[in-house]
This record gives sequence, structure tokens and C-alpha cells, in this order.
Amino acid sequence: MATIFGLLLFGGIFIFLLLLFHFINHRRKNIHFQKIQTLENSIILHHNQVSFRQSTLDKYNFLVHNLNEVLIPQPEIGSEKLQS
Amino acid sequence: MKKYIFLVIFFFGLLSVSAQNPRKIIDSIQGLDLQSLPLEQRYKAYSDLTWYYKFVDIDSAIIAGKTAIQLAEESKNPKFISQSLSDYGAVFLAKGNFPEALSQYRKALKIRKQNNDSLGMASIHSNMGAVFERMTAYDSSMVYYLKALPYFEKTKNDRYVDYVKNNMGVVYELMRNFPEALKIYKEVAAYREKEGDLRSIGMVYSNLGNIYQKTKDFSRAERYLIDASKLLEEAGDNTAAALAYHNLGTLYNEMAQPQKALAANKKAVLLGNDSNSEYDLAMMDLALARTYKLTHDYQNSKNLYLRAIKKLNSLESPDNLRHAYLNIIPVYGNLRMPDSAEFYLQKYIEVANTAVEDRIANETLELATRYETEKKENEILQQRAQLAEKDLEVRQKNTLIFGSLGLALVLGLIGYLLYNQQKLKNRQLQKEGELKTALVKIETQNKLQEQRLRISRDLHDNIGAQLTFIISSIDNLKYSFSDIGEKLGNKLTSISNFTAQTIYELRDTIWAMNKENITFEDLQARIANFIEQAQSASEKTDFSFNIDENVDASHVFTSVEGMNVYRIIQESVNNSLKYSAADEIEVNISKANNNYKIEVTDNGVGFDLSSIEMGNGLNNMKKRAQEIGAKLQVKSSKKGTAIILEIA
Repeated sequence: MATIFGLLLFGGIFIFLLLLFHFINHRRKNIHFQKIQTLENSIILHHNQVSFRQSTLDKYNFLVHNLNEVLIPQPEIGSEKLQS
Repeated sequence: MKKYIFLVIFFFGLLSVSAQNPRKIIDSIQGLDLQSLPLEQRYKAYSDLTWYYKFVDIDSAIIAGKTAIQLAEESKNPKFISQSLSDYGAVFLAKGNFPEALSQYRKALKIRKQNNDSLGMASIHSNMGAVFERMTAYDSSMVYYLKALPYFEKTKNDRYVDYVKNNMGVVYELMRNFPEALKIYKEVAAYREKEGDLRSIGMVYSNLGNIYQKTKDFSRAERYLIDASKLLEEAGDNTAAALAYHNLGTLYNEMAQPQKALAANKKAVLLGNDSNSEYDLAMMDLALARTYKLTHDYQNSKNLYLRAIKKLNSLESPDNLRHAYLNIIPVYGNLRMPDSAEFYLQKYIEVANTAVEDRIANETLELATRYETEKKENEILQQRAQLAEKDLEVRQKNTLIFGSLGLALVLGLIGYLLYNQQKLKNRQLQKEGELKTALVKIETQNKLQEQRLRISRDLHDNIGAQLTFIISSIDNLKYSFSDIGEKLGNKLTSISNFTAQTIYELRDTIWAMNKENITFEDLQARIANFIEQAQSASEKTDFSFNIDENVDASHVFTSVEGMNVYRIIQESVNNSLKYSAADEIEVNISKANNNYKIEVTDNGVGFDLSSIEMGNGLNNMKKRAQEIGAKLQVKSSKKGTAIILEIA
């Protein structure tokens, strides 16, 4: 009887620990995924802005045109503060 | 005075012989050549001889029994061994040697227990019940019958159930539980009347008669005993009939009918001669002797008492012997033989004393046995306690070991899980860090680009506009005042040209600042454009622009390199146009030893490098070459000038 009780207790603790760590890690992965997504989105946004501006600059002839035509203001790009 | 009443006890196998003549069977077996038979058949022959001799000659039965046991042991067949021992026990039961009978039955029982022979065990239990009954150990007898009965009832063996019940009735009767005995006998009688076996019916009638006699219902007792005697005699079982007559004689004695008692007892002794049981014969002799005594026939009484005493002496039956001694004393008294009376009185006292001594010895032995038993029980209890303590210790140790193991496993698991979690955390932090760094980098790049463009816009829109205003103002000044001298006019033109040059340079700076790279193809286009403009400005001079085939058109210069190379070429061409009075100017680009070599040559008047003071133009070219890590050479003679720029 005591042996069975001991085995059940041990098995219970074992399973409880496995489940506990599984859920903690799962939650951590979700949070990490959200952070990564935010960072990647910001990087992509900046990259697109730089690429777009550079491609426009490459096409621009300074000797012919006014610089205002290439310097398109892009207020959506700023130093966005990331949540950690 | 003690009355001897025979109760009819069955034991297994007894009835099977009733329908056959034992003597005939013995003769037929002895007619065989036993020694030539195989072992198994020889055993069976001796086993049968043991059984049938029991009814006619006890001593022969004992010899045959011993041989049967020996043959069974040789065959090593446990069934044969247990059966031969059981038969041997039955012989001693018939002889009246109860301890020996019991000993043989116990041996047989042990073997049958080892072989799980349930039927055999039940038979032995029943026979042992009969032995204990004959030994007057009624409690033990009842215990063994009750062990045997459930098996026969369970297997629906009605015949054996009937035998065992009858024997239990006998025991109840001996224990003076007459109502219970009467009930059982009636059940047995009803079953046997249905079966119609005269001998069996006679036997149970005999027992019923005994019960009624003991309950003082003499008329019923007489009727049953007479019926029993007749039925048994009719069935040809003289021994049983003798016992029934003996019981009838005892009844008549009690009913104070000595003549009838005498007749019945005589008949009993007559028929009893066929019996092999010394005990039964002795009992019948004693009964007849008593009847003779009651009828004052002392001589016959004495003779019968003496015969009974002789038989009882050979049997271990001290109680009966003591009663025989006691009864013979008054017979000798009536025969006026005081010496003999005195002799048997002494015998009686001896036997009585022996009985007392035996009883004391038995009681002492019983006490000693009880003491030893208790002592052993205590030892067993102590050993059990020690075993329990050891068991508890072992259990505690096991619990400790398994508990520690379990704890270690749990801790190991926690460690592993924490390690995994930390690893995951590190991986996540590393990735987050990389992404944050990349974000910062691209943010910086974006801001830098934005800043650079803002500066460019400011330069172009503000400084460029102001420089244009200066040129425009100088032009207005020149045309507004017609009386300005030639010297001042030239000066104003020079300022205007310088300002225009500043605007070009400003634009080039802005261009270089916003262009990260410039391909050789792009540079080639700008140089060609410049040469074309120069050609249109000075039609007297021939311009040529040559590029070697080994030059890689896809080579990329940094914007600073490209701008400075372009400026050096521009400055060289301008100088040739201004000072050399050349009619041919060439720009050649070639590649040697992984270096680009750019040569601007003219066929003008040249100049003396040692005597001429380096102006702004040449110094600017040298500074620009240094800035991009290139090598600049100036070669001049009266036939012309060559500016050579080598860049890696």
C-alpha cells in the first residue's frame, strides 16, 4: 500500500514538474515571439525607408533637379521605443 | 455393573466383503503362482489377501499386510503405499490394537495429503474416527467424522455419507446425546430401507435398539434388536448378528429376564465364533458370564470370565480387564474358592493402581507437554517479534533508499528542466540582442541618411542660391556701368567665374555625399560629358577620350574617389586650355598591375617645373590625390605636358 502510494506520489510530482515547466516555457516562447516580431517589423520598416530613399537618390541627377524632389519627408519613421 | 453393548460401526471396505465369502476368495488367490506375477499384480494379490484374511485370520492378515507394504514400497507408487498402510491399519482395528491401527492410518494419511488424494484422505479420516471411537476418545472421533463427511456430501457419495452418519450416531450415543443419535439413526434407517440391503438395515436397527434401551423404551428396543438379529443372521453376517444378539442379551438382563438373556447371549457366543475380533469375543464372553452369574450358574460364569480375561490380557484394554477381575471375585466367592477370589482381588487392585498410575503419568506428561508447548509458543512469539522488527528495519531501509532515489530523480529532473529553460532564455536573449543591434544600426543609417540629405538640401537651397545671386549681381554690375575699366571688368569676370566654379564644386560635393558608390561606367559618362562641353567651348582644340579594353566597366569607386578623379581630370583639361595653347588634348584611361592609370596630355608649350610657382590648381590636384591614396605625376617639356594619376 505504502509502495503504491509512494509510486503515485513520485509519478504525480514528476508529471507536475514536467507540465509546470512546459507551460512556463510555452508562455516565454510566446512573449519572445511577440518581441521578435516587433523588432523585425521595425527593422523591415527602416530598411524599406533606406532602400526607397537610396533608390530615389540613385536615380536623381543633382545637376538638373532640385533636391526637394528626392527628400520626401517620412514622418512614420522615428526612433520607436521597443517594449521589453 | 457395567453393561457391554456393542454398537455397530462401519468402516470402509467392510461391506464390500459381505456379499462374498472371504475364505473362497483367499483360496482362489492362493491358487495363483504369486511369485511369477509382475510386481504390481503381486502387490494387488497381497493387498486382497490382507483385506480378506482380516475376516478369517488376523495373524495371516498381518503377514500378508506386511508383504503388501513391502511390495508397494518396491513399486514406489504412493497410491499403493498409502492403500497398503490403510489396509494394515484396518487389520489392527479388527484385531483391537487401536494405537497400531492409528499409527498405520496416520502414515497413509500423510502420503495421501502429499498427493492431494481427497477421496483417500476422507476415507482415512472416517476410519480414524472409528479407531478413536473404539478408544473412547469421542471428541477426536467426531472431529474426524466431521472432516470426512463434507467431502462425501460434496461429491454426492450417498453410500459413504450413510456410513459416516451412522458412525456419528454411534459417537453421539456414546457421548450420551441420545436425541441427536436417534435422529441420525432414523435418517440412516430410512435411507437403508430404501436401498433394501438387509445387513445394513440390521445394523442400524441394532443401533436403534441400543438407543431405545438406554432411553428405557424397552419394548421398542426389544423389537428393533430382535429384527436386527434376524436380518443380520439372514444376511449371513454372523459376527454382526452375534453383536446384535449380545445387545439383546444385555437388554434382557436389564429387563430382568435372565432366561431370555441367557438364550440371546448363548446365540451371540455361538455366532461370534466366526468373529476375528478378540475384543468383540471377549465382550460377548463377559456378557454371557454375567448372565450365567445372574442365573447362579457360577461354574459356567467362571469359565467364561477366565476366557474373557485371557483374551483381554492380550489386548490393551485395562478398563475391561479391571471390570472382568471385579466381576469374577463374587463368582469365586459363590464357588467357595476364597484363594482365587483373593488372587483376583489382588489383580483387580493392581490393574486399578496401574490405571491410576497411568492416569497420573498421563496427566504429568500432559502438563509437561503443555509447559513445553507454551515455552515453544513463547519462543515462536519472540522469534516472530524479532522477525517483525527485522522486517520493519528492512522496510525502513528500503523506504529510505527508494525515497532518496526518488528525491534524486526529482532534483535531477528539476535541474534538467531549469537547464533547458536557461538555455532557451539565452537563445531568446541572443536573438533579441542581435535584432536590437540590427535595429539600432539601421535606425542610425536611416537617421544619418536623413541628416545627410537635410545638409545637402540646405547647401543646395541656401548657399547655392546665394552664390547664384552673387554671379547675377556681378553680371548686373558689369552691364549697368559702361565706364568701368578693362582691369576692373576682368576682375569682375574672374570673380563671377570663380563663384560659378564654387557652385559646381558645391553640387559635386552634394552629389558625392549622397552617392555611396559610383561605377566606372558612371564616371566615364560624366568625363565624356565634360569633354563634350570643353569641345564646344574651344573649337580650335581637338579633344579625345580613350579607354583601354582591359578596363573593367563594372568596377565600383567610392563616391569620394570618383569625385576626386573627375575633379583632377577637369582641372588638368582646364589648365591645358588656359595655359598650354595646345591644339590637341587627350584623356586616356588604362589598367596595369591592378592599378588604374589616368593620363591627361597636351601638345602645348609646356612649362618648367623647377621655375614655376605651384598655383592653386596643381596644389588642389595633389591634395585630392593624397585624399584618395593615389599617385600624381606631372611631366612637362616644350613639346607638351602630361598629368598622370595612378589609383588602386
